[in-house]
Amino acid sequence: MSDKMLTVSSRRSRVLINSVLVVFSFFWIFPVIFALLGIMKSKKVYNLTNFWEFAPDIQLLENYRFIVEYSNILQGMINSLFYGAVGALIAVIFSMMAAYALAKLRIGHRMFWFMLIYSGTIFPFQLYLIPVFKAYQRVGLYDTRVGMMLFYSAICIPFAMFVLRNFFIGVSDEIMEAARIDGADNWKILWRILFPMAKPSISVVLLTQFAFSYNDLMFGITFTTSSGIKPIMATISTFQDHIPAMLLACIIVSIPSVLLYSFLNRNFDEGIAYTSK
Amino acid sequence: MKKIMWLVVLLSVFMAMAVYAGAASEVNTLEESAKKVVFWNDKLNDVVQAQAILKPWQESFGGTIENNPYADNAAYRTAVSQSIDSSSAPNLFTWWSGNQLESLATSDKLMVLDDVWEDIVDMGVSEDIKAALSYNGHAYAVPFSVLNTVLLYNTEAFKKAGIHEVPSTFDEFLVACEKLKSVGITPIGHRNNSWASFVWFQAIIAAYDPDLYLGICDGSVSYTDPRMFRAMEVWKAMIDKGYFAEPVLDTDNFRRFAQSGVGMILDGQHQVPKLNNDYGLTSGEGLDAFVLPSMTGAKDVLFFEVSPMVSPKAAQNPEETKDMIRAFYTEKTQAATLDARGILLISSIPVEDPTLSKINAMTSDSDSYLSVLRFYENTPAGLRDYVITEMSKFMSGVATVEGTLNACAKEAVKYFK
Amino acid sequence: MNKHTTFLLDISRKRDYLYLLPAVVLVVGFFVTSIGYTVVLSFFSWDGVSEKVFIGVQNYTDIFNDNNFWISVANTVYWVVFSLLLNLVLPLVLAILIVQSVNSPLFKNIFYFPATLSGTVGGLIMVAMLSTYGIPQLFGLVGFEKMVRDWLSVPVVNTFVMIFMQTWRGIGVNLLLFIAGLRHLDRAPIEAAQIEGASRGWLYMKVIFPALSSTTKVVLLMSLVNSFKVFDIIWIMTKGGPYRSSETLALSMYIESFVRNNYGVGASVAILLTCIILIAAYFNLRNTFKSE
Repeated sequence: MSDKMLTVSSRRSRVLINSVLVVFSFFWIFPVIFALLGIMKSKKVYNLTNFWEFAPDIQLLENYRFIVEYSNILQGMINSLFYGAVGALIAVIFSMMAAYALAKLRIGHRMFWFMLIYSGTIFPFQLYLIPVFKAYQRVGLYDTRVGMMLFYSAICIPFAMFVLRNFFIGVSDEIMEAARIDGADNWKILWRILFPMAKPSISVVLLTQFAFSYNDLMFGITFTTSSGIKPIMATISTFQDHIPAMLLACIIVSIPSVLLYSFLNRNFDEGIAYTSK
Repeated sequence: MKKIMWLVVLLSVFMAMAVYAGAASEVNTLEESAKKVVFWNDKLNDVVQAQAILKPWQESFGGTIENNPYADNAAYRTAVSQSIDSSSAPNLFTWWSGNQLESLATSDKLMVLDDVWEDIVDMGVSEDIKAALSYNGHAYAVPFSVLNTVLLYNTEAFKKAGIHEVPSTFDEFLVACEKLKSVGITPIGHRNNSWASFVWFQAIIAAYDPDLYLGICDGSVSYTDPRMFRAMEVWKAMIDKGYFAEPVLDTDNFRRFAQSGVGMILDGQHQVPKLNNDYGLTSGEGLDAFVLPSMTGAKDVLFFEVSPMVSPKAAQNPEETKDMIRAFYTEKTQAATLDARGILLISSIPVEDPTLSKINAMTSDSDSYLSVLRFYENTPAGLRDYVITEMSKFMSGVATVEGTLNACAKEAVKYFK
Repeated sequence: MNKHTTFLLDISRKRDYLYLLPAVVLVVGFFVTSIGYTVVLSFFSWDGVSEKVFIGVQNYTDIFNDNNFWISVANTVYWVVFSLLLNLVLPLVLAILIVQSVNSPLFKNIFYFPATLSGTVGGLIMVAMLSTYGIPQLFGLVGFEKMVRDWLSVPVVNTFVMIFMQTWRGIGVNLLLFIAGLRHLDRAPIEAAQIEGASRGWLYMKVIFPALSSTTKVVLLMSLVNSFKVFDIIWIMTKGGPYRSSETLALSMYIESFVRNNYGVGASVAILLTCIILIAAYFNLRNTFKSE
């Protein structure tokens, strides 16, 4: 491994490097400690004690009961899982095709097409609210799961295309030429040869774009009104007055993201390497 | 083999999702025989409050009220403004009084609620409120809440400072501040948002002279009127003496208040239940209220705000909407809003909470108190935002009286021609 | 080449464009039309409910004459410069440390984790942590009583506090990119340099950093666009206050549209912001496209 090459030999600097990381890590996970201390407290105790003090009596179960009693957290999670998963999947498929075209096919004015697609992430997101709402109402997509799914797919495309194009650029033309000689057309090359190679990059895109859609509040509550269609963040936002319950809900809600992360984790190091070639 | 597995998994996931996506439209078309209305708001974001109020409201209404609270401002404004003319308009939604209500009402998008008002006045809602919600002689809104801004004080802190009587003149108020300070209690709490600067601005100006306040609001008096300078100097002196705490988060402000770190907060009555339930203060024992006394011995000014609810013309089932509105002012529903938010709009039920009861008594005691609409809805919105920003600067000590008033006067010219 | 083959070539070229079609349709359908709508809106005066009134370029001239706009511009510049710097340098340094550490997967996961949180949730936790009873209180306990105040209500200080918070949340993906980049370095030039007895500093400056330049370009473009658009964190933590001192252009656009109901003014700010980002992104990308 090339890691070894960069490894320092002296013991002193090894100790130094690890202690610096430990100190930084402490800051990075500090909010988790904060959240774990918080979820043990009742609302009143939380309001009146310093956060580092332990709760006099553990209220974790009561806070959980509160969440279950006052919200349908499961329905929200299912909805958001659906938006996040489908949005990211569709975005990956369409972006694969676009990225492939931009990197390897005969397209004129590549930069124009690239910028056109990439522009989706350049504009401030709030300006999409009114036009999309208007359009959705006109075509009957307002307050539907299909509408939400389409929107999240669209908004995930630019970043996905950006990352995948970077990957495809790095793939040598020889591999493709060899396939072409064997009689494969562009479509087959994309799905039979490039797709398996790109699996790591795709993992990255899936993870980040799933997280975006799953965590989104603004678009979710703007384009829906029925409780059966609302995303999970709408539920969380109703706990803002009860911070311990909110913190607990956050922990519960982040389970799918963490699972997905650990599931895709194996692919990562490999994956991101290609994106930056 | 592995590839086929992948494909199967992907396909089944897709199919499950397609079925799920289709299910959505089914839910929407479910026939419901009972009455059903939709209520959009940016107020009932707290689940506990929402359920406490909705349950009795639905029972009084005899149907379902679908509560749709928006936790995001942009989402709420977009949804309301874009659906107000369409069939997906809600039956009832909360809005802001003043200019924002006016532009909805005058663009002919709202149902006129004159007949409902007759009923709810019979139920005990004060007719005075109607005026604030009427344009061209018609009422376009009903109140979701009417609340007063008062000085809430921590009685323990006052005792500790040797203040045994609530200040009845402005000088006594200043003495009380000094006493609090001398025992190490910061007299007045200060939130880290624009709230503090605007409630204190209106309170100081109105305590100096209620007419001056009204003149400022409608543009008949300039911000650079000599009286304004004198009033602002009083405020400046208070700031310089350290009567105001450093600005902190809302929750920190309440906590410091509950723990006698600050003696008073100028805030809405809807904070009383919260201070009782979540911060361990008890109304009538640890917590009480008074109004900032007048500087001249005129009537003390009690500021109120009205949050309106309106119904779009385009909404379905107007009769059901009207039933729903009436149901809001039944004793049952009002008892719940009183309990959850400290707000009562009818006179027929008693207020148990001693502090709220005191505030309630003030509102009907027109001999001693003058009820005035707060600054926020009483002056053009653009000017208001400008003035509040300037006052925030002033309160944080980076602006002078002269600079602040001159800047406001310059801006006011644009609105009052 | 005869006519027949050029014709075939033509068809297959056109077919190549079909690969772009779905992505372009969705992006144009949702976002390019939205920006078109916003451009039109920026020439109108509109409060969201009444009729729109055409007022030409008045929104733009009003903005340029508004002092607060220039404060927003200055704050946006702070954000772009400092958050770009932090989002580039910190992940790079951490990545270099992590690949040499005892347990690199553990450290990688720790530093990546905040990126999985939603902006709202992360913001709320941070607001609670930064309350005067939170971290500032800890400073008070160890003797820095002057630090026990609401940092978010001190102008300029609050912007830097927020930039740090953004860094906390934002470096995850960049860190993964740099770690992967370091792991896949070409070993030959490094070994050669080591044999020649190069110092560590020289090794990094002359060999490793240049080899990472393609990763750096990706990180740079993503962080650049993000730093212009930062919104969530500021909106949750200060709402642009106190007295509009921490507003950035993204905040101004939001406040004008959705708080003050001046949708026309908000649209104009949005268009100006978009132009700035487009220009920045264009110059950033032009070289990349040329070198390919």
